[in-house]
Amino acid sequence: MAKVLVVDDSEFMRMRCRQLLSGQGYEVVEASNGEEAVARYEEEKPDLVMMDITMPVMDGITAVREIKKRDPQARIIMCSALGQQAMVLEAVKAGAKDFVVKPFQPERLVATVRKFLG
Amino acid sequence: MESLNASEEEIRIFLEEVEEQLELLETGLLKLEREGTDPEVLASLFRAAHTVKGSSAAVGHQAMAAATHALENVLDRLRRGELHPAPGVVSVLFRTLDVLREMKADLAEGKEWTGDLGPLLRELRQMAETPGILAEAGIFFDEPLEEEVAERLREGEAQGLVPLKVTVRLAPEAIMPAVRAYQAYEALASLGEVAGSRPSLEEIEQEKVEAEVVFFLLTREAREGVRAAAASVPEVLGVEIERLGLSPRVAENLSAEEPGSPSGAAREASLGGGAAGDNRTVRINVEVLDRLMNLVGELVIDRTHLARLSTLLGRFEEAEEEIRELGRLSAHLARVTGFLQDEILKARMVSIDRVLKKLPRLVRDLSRSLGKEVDFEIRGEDTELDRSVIEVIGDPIIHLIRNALDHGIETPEERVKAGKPPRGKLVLSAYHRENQIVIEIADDGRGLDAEKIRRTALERGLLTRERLEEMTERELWQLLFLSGFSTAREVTELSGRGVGLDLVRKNIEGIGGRVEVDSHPGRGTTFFLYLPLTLATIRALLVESGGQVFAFPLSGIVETLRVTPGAVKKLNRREVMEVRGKVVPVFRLDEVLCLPSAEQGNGSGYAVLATAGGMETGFVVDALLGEQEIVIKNLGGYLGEIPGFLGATVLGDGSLALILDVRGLREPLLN
Repeated sequence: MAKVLVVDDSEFMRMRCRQLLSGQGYEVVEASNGEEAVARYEEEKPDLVMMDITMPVMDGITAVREIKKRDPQARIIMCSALGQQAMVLEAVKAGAKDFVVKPFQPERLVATVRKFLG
Repeated sequence: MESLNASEEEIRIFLEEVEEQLELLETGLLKLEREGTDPEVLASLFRAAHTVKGSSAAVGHQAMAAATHALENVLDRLRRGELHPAPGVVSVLFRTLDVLREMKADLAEGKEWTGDLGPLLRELRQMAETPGILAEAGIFFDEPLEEEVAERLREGEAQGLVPLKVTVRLAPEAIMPAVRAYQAYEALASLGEVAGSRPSLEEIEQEKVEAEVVFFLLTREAREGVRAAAASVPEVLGVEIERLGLSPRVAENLSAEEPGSPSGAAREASLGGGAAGDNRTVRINVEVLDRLMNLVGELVIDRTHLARLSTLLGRFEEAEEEIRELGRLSAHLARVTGFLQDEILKARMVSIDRVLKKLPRLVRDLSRSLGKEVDFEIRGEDTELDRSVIEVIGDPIIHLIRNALDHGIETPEERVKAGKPPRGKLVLSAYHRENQIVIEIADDGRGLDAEKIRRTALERGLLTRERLEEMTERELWQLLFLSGFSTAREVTELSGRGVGLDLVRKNIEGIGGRVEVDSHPGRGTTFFLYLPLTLATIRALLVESGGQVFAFPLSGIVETLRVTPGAVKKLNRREVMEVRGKVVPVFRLDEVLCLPSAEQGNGSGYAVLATAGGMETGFVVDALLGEQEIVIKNLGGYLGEIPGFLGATVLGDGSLALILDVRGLREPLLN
């Protein structure tokens, strides 16, 4: 079963993502900021990361860089709000594969995840 | 030419291509002027300018590339509806076309074009209102490129990479197009080197991205791979790939080393609008075709000779197997030669469109300068003729058109006074009839003036008053073709100085054709050009006179008659014959040619009734030998042009026969 690491400082967002992805048969692990995400990534070796951008302790873009440093093959999708184009661009340059825009449309999110995990 | 980076052969092909495209431009501009904005016309204009730009840049003709580039930009604005084809705009476009023609003509003569492009470019640029259209350095490529990008693409190409223009279309609803553009950039960069993009990478990072992003990619990857990579980016709706730079023609030659198949766009451009797109064609030098035709001509002679020999041999009842075999072989060879001849004739056929294309512009310019309004119509422009015939008929046709505009069609005021619509009508029709091509040029103008023609003929001392009185109108019209005859009230610059119609006649008869004219006072005049399908061989009637064989071209023969003693009568000290109620002058061919007369003398034998210039003449000969296809050979420099003879031919038995020219024979006899 493919494993997805959901990184968001909002518990509500993590919960929604977990419900949505579990319902599709994925295993979900969580982290609430960038630093935690890097640690969880190393422990869990997830197949995909869904990464929020604005978070305390370590922001999402820095986390992408850190994760990519440890695993250049890492597959990361950014979760961004509208109007964060410059930051998403930054994340893509850092190695993120794609992005979804919050608030999520459930089908969109699932479709994007599917594209990477099948 | 030294200044161009192309071989002589390439320049020759280049010139042909440019000529085709300029004709398309001209046709298109005329339509644009007449019918206003039509997307199809504008698209074809744009394509033509684009093609010339590409090829001229490839051969290194900077001036032509610059002019067509500027032209293309204006056409693009017209195409996008940002510019209205006002008369001022169209006339600048026409002027550009004229300059391009000059450039082409100079190049054809191996001269450098030395005109000043500056003023024209300024005007075009003003209309295009696009800054930087003359990115001189970038012009090598199809696109106006920044110098570094062009430089990098050239280097890359020299290293064996293929420069591609990849246009990525993003979904309009994409929320973060800059991210998508960047992803596309990354996807392409993974396949090679992105030498530049529009918007640039910096602009993409500054989020200045709209629905379309163009990347200039250097790659070894096949097009399909490139397409797949760009299309893998989410929210990418479409990917277009074009091979960049070079003329499409060169690009096509290179396509063997190019990965992937050439894109539709490149192929279409390379074929000048795609007309010839699906025909598998090869360009052949005309000289090669001429030589082939001559060789086939030799074969035709040998065939006839061989057929005759084998008939002679085969007569012996106890013919040996070998002789019968020879007969079969000869028959087979004859058939194959016939097919070969047909095919080569076909290969030499060119659509008459080539000559006619220039006419609408000519009519437009002339009628304007004469203050006349004329609707010009061309029918049957796809009629085909032998190349060599096409080459000869251009000037005569132009002359007749000028004549019609100058003398035939009246000014709008005169027309209205005569109860006609103010706009005149000029129709050129080309069609195939029997073994000939007919070209009709008909105007609905004032028609010919019989009285004036009589007067002029009398003044010039061309014919006697009596002779003129007894002539029918139709015969009178033909006098126009006599040397030194001109009915124009004033000699205008357009129609020249009375050297007009007789020259037309000479040109057309020189290729074994004929000219006739018909006219109805007040209703118009029609000129008919009867042209042979080919110049190399003709059908001829072989006759015997004074112990020699002569050939009459069949095109000029009306009929042949048995001459019974007493059928030839004297009238006004001339010999005439009555043929179906008409009195026709007759001459004995042997007397005309000063040959020893055959014994029977006294006017018996056969009469060949031949026509030229609308007048029939009978020639009495001793015997009719039959109809045959003959190959025309020039009499050559030793003999020069002898009036009365078109040339000579070799007969089946290897002997020579002279080919007669009816008009040349008759002219000295009638005066």
